[in-house]
Amino acid sequence: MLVAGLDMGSLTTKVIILQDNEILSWRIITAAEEGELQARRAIEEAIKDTRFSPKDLGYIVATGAGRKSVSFAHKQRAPASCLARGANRLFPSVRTVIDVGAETCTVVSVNERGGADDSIGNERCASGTGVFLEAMAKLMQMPLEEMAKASLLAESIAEISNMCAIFAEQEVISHVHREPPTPKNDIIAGIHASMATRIGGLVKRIGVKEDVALSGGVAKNIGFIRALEGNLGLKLTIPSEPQLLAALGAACIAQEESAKKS
Amino acid sequence: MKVDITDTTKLDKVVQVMQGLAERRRAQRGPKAGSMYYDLIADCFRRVQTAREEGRYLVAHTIFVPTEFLFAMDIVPFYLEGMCEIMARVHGLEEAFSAAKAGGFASEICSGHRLVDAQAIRGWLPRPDAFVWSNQVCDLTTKTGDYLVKLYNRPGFYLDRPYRNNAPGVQYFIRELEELIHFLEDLTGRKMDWDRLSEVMENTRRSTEVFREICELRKAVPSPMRNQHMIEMILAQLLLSGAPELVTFYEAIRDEVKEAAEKGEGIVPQERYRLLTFFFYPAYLWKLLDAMQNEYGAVIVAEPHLSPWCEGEVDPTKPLESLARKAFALYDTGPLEPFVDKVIREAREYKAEGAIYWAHIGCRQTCATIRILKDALLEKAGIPTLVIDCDLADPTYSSGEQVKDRLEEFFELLDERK
Amino acid sequence: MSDILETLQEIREINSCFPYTAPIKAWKEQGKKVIAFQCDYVPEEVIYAAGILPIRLTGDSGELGLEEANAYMYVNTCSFIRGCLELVLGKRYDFLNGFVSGATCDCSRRLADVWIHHRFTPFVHIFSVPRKITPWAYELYEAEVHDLQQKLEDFFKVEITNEALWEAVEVYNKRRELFKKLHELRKLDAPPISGAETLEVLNASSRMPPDQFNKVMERLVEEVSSRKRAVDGKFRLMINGSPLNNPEFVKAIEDLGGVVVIDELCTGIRYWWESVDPAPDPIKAICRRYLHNFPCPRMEPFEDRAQRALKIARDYRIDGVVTEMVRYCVPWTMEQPLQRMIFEEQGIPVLELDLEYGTAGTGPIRTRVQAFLEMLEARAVK
Repeated sequence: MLVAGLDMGSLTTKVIILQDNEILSWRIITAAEEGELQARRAIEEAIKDTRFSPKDLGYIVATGAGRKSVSFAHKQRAPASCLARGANRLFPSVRTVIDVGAETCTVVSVNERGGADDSIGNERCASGTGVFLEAMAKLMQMPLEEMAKASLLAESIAEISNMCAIFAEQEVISHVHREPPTPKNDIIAGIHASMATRIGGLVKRIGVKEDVALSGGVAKNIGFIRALEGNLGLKLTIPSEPQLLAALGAACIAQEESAKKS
Repeated sequence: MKVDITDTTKLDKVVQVMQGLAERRRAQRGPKAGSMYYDLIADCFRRVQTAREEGRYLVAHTIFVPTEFLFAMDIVPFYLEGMCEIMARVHGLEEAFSAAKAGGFASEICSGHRLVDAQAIRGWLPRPDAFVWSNQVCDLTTKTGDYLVKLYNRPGFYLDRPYRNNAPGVQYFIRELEELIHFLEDLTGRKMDWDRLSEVMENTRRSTEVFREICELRKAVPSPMRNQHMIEMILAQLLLSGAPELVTFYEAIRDEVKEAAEKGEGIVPQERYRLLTFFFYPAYLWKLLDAMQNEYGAVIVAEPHLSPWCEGEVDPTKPLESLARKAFALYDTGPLEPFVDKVIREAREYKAEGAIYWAHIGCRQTCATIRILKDALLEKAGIPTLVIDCDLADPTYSSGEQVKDRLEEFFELLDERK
Repeated sequence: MSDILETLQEIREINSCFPYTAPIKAWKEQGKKVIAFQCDYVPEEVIYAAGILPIRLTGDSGELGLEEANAYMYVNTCSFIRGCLELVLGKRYDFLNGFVSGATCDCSRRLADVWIHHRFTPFVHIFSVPRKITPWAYELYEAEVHDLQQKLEDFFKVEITNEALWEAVEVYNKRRELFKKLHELRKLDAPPISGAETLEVLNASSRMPPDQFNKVMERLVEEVSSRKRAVDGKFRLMINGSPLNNPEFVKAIEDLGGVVVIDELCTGIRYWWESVDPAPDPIKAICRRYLHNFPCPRMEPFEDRAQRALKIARDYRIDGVVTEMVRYCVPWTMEQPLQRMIFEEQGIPVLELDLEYGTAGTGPIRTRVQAFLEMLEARAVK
C-alpha cells in the first residue's frame, strides 16, 4: 500500500512516501504557494523519484500548522501525535521528542506504542524557535550555518538573559558594543545557551524522560545541540533528516489507517 | 478619587439581554432549566436596580460570602465577580479592561477582579450600602473590598476564613460569621430574624441535597448532563444561595438529568470522551462546551473544584455551624493534599478518561497546583491532563480557535489510548 | 560616600556563602538543627526555644533562571517563591531539617503544598494566620502557635519550656532593639549608613544564630554611631513592596542620588519593628507581638497598615517612595493603586517598579529611578 505523510509547516512543507513501511522518497520544499497547491506540489515532486504517480497513493495524512488546508488528505492529525509516531518508528527507545521548527517549539512525551502521552508548546513566544536564531544571525552578520559552528569555538559563554527574544537582542547588541567587546564566538554561545535554557525549561515542565530526541530544522544546528545537551545533562538522539520526523509519523499513521480499512 | 455619580442605566441593558436570552431559549422549546437560568439572572439584576426605590439595603459581596444572611434580612445582594463579568461582557470588555489599566491595576491581576474594579471606576456599579468580602478563594478577593470601600465611601466588612480546618479555625470562623451579622444589623438598624434565617438555611439544605443528587446521577455512563449546566448551576448558586429559586432551578436540572439517566440516554448520541475539568471555563468560551459535546462527543462528568459545593451537612437550626461546615468543605482556601486524594477518587468514580485544566494566567493559587494534580492523575488514575493556558474573561489572551486546536489534539491522544 | 564599615566586611563574608553560611555550618557541625521559615508571622522564638536555628527562606540575589521551579509550580507564581524553590531544587538548602510556613499569601502557601508533596525536608508545617487583629484572632493564632510548639516537640523530641521561650524572647528582643537603634540613626539628616548596607545587615541577621548576630550588630551600631560617616544622597527615599533581598538593587538607586533611609518591607521593618512585651504567659506574649506587628499587605483593614506606613514616611522625612513590586506578587499589585493614592494624597510621590525578584536594578530600572529623582529635583526647586 502506497501512503504519504505531509507536514505543512510555516516555512517549509515536508512529505514522505512509504510503501509497505519502507521509505520510498521524501521532499522538503520552501513554502511558496498557499496550502493546498503547496501540498500537491510537494507530493508531485516526491513521487517523481518513484515509479508511481499521485493517484496511486492510497492514504494521505496531513499534519503541521497548515494541515487543515489540505482538502485531499484522508485525515489530519496533530503534530504531537505525528512526532511521537515518527520518533518511535526510527528510535523505539525515545520517550521525549523536542521539535524546534521555524516558528514553533513542541515537546512531546512518547509512550512505547509511539503514542503521545502529553505535549506542551511555546505558543506565545518566538524565543525558542528558528526565527529567533535567524534574527540573531542577522544581528551577528553571519550566515546561520556559520553561526551554528561558531559557538563550538567559544572560550566562555556570554551571559544573555533568557527571558525574552526582544531583550536578548538588546543584550547581544550591548555585548557587541562593550568595551572591550565580548568575543563573537562567546556571544553566539550565549545565544545558543539562552535558547537551550528556554527550551530546557519547557521540557522540564512536561518531565524529561530518556531517550530524548531533537527534531525540526533547528536540530541541524550543532551549536544549539551542544547547548541543549548541556542544559539537560544528556545526549540527544537526532535523526539524520530532523525536519522530516513529523511527516514520517504522519506517513506511519497513514499506513496504519489504510491497514485498518483493508 | 471618589465615585459620586453612578450610572445604573447600564443595568437596564443587562436585564434586557438576559431576558432576550431567556425568550430565545423558551422559543427553542429546550429543557425548562435553560430559560430558567436567564430568568434568574435577569431577576437578580432587576432586584439590584429596584433596591433603593423598594427601600431595601443593597450589599455588594465577593464569592462565598453567605448570601443566606442577606436573604434572611431582606437585603439585596450584588455578587461582584459574577455580575461585573456579565456587565462587562454586555457593555464591552475592551473598555472595561482599559478602565482597569488606567486605574493602576496591573494586567497580571486576574481579569475577573480587574472587571470588578473597572465597573467601579466607570461608575457602572450601583452604589451599594455596604461591601462584604472574604479571603475565599485567593489574595485578590481579600484585597477587593479595600479599594471599593474607599472609592464609594461606604462601610465594609471583611470575613476571614482560616487556612486549616481544625477546631480553633472553625471556632474563629463562626465568630467571624457572628461579627458579620452584627455588621449587617448595625447597617440596617434591624436585628437578624433567626427564624427567618433557619428558613433560608432550609433552602440551602435542600439545594445542597439536590446538587448532591445531580452529582451522583452524573456518574452514569453515558453522561446524562449537558456540559453547560454546571456553569449555570455555579453562577446560580453564587447569586442565590439560600433563595427558594435556587432550589427550583436545581430541581429542574435534576429532573432533566434523572430522566436521561433512567432511560440510559446520554446527552450526546455517541459519547466518546469522559472528562474531568478543573477550575472555571473561560467565560468567552462557554459556547465551546456545547461544541465539545456535540462535535466531539466530549462530555464533562465532574469538576473537582466545584463538587465540594455540595458537601457539608446543613442543619437549619444551626446556621453558623452549617455555614462553617460548608466553607471548610471547599479546598480552594486550604491545603492541597486532601484535594489530590479527592481528585483521584472522582476520576475513578466518574470513569473519566482525560482531564482538562483551565490554567488562568491571572490565577496564582490554582496554577501552582497543576503539576501535582497532573502527575497524580496520570500515575494514580492513569489519565492524561490537557493544560490550556487561557484567561478567565479576556478573549484576547487565547482565541477560541487555538483552544479548539488543542482540544482536538488532546482528543486524538485520548483516541490512541483507547 | 566614605569608607567601608569594618563590621560590614564581616557581614559580607557571612552573606557570601548564602544560603549555607559559615555560622549555619558551624551550628550544624555541633549536631544541631536548622529550620527555614517563610514569612514574618512565623514566631522564631518558639523554634529557637526548641534549640533549633530558624533562618529565613529566601531566594538568591541576581535573577535566576527559574526553569526547575516553573516545572514544579507555574510560570505565573511570583518570582520570589519560585526563586526560593529553585534553590531548594538545586540542593542549596539541603542542610535544612525542616520548613515552617505561615499560610499568609497564595504563592507561599502553594510552596508549602509543593514542599509537603515532595517532602523536601523531614519536617514541614504550615499553620493558619488570621488576617485581622481581634480578640478571637489572637485566640486562633495562639492555638496555632501552641500546635506548632507541640509539633516541634513531638518531631524533634525536645521540650520547649517557658524558660527557654523567655530566653529566646530576650535574644530576639535584643536583635529588635539593635535594629531600632540603627534606624534611629537613619532618621538623621545625614544618615551614617545606606539602605544597601542596611539590607546586607538585615539579610545576615536571618542567616546566623541570633545571639551571634547580636554581637556583630552591637559592634556595627557602635561603629556607625561613633564614626563621622555620612551617606551622600540628595533625596530621602522609602522602599516598600514585595520581599527584597538584593542589596545591589538598593545600591543602584542610591548610586543615582537618592538615599534609602527606611523601608516598609517583609525583609526589613516587619522583621524587627515590634518587641515582645513581658506577660505571664510566654506564648501569649509572643503571639501578641507577632500578630500586632507592623502589618503585611495581607492584613485587613488596609487603613491600619496604610496609616502606619504614612507615619514612618513622615518620621523619616521622606521625599519619595520607591515601590518595587515583584511581578505576580498578589497582595501588592492589588493593594498598590490604593496605597499609591494614600501617599500621593499626602504629597509624597511614588515610583512604581515592576520587576522580578532578585534583580540588581539595571538598565530600564535605573532610567526610571533617574527620571524620578529628576522629578523630585524639579519639585524641590519649585
